Amino acid sequence: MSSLTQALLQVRWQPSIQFVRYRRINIQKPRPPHYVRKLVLHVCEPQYEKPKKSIQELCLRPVFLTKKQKVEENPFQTLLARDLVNWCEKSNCIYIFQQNSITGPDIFKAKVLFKRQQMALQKYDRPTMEEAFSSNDKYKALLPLIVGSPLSLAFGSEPQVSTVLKICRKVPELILLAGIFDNRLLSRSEMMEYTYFPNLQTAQAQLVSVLNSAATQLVQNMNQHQQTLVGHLEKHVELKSEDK
Amino acid sequence: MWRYLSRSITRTLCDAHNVNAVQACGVKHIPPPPSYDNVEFPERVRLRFLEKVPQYPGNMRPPKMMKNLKFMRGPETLHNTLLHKQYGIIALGGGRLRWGHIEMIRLGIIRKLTSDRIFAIWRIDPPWQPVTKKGQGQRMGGGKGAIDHYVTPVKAGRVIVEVGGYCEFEEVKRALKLIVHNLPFKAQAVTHQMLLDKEINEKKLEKENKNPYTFKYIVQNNLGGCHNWISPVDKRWFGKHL
Repeated sequence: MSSLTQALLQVRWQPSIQFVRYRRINIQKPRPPHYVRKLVLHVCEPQYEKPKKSIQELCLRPVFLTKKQKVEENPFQTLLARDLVNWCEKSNCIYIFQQNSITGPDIFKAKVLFKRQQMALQKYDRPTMEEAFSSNDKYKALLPLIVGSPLSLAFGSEPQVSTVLKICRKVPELILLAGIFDNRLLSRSEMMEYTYFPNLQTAQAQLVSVLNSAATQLVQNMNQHQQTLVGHLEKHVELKSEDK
Repeated sequence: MWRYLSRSITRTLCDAHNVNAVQACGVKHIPPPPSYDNVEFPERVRLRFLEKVPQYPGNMRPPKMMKNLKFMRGPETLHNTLLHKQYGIIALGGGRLRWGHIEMIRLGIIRKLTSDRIFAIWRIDPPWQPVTKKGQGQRMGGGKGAIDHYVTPVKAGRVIVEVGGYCEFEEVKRALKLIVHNLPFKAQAVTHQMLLDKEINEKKLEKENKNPYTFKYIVQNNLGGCHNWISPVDKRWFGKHL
């Protein structure tokens, strides 16, 4: 304790001068900060990490594609998509057209022509078609077709490609792209070939005849001379009976 | 069908060599109108008239008061949220509202917003703080000047006026922004959601800050002997407010 007091007495009190100035603040027009304070504030400025994106993402893709598009649930669109799927399920044949820009009266005329053939021509917008076709595994193959110009679909019960092409000739804005017959997606040329197909029974009969063709050919070759002889004799008999 | 088609949007297929723009059109999404079930109207729908001069009892001499800058300094801790949780005007800086400003707010809201759907309430007191002024050309001395006018001091973050009712922010935004422009301090027309988002954003920025040195840290640890030159309020507000 005594040593402490001795130590304290030995320390000389040195007067220190500290300049303190308080200026009345102005709320509306704050004083610019002192140099030292400015330095400190600059050092304390917040620093944030840059977003991590590769050079390819930044340079090759356009900016607006990188923005996430808001997917809003549209109940009306869902309804239309369900309606489209129902039409597709109900009808045996679906014709897919590219519909270029056409006036109202002209498209009405086209619809009338289709109606006369017991077919319905309908146009759906791209998001609805995307929703409809991606919901069903069966129609996923149609998704690449949706990119591009708006599509029109004609729904029918019987395949009548020639009549459809006649309608297309009258309506140049409708271009037949593809069709769905018996749950098969066919291109335009394949659809033309489909019309020349015979029905199943005929095809089966043709197949049977092709399979038997070797045997029938053999039998024919074997019997050829006998049959010609028989034919000649019959004719000979006829001639003789006529003479009499 | 045409009514339900939205405005056409261009969809670009970007290739390294060519760009094809294709017009595409979708079905318009008409969302159901917003519901105002939670909106409660106050008793008084229109902004009441605020007196220019506070009424003192007859025998009392109107007191003169000190400048009290403390009523303008720092953040507002109490009246900084919207009671009706809809829309309002928030002060971003401190200042003083005179009766002229108050009338400007009141008339601006009454004239621009219909009172059958939209209500407004004051969130500030009528002017109570006396501001004295000596006559023009008077020399220093001779006592404190006479009361010239009364003001309402306002701190940063204070809600000045609240607006609500069966309306969207788009409807009231214009009226509020015109008022904000004429106020003597920095202010902002806000919605309840904006205030919540601001809070969240501030916390997020604080968290994401990679700089280990903040003014708060420097003041709290007296780095660089900063306690020699910082203001006492810096130890409370860490440089955010004057």
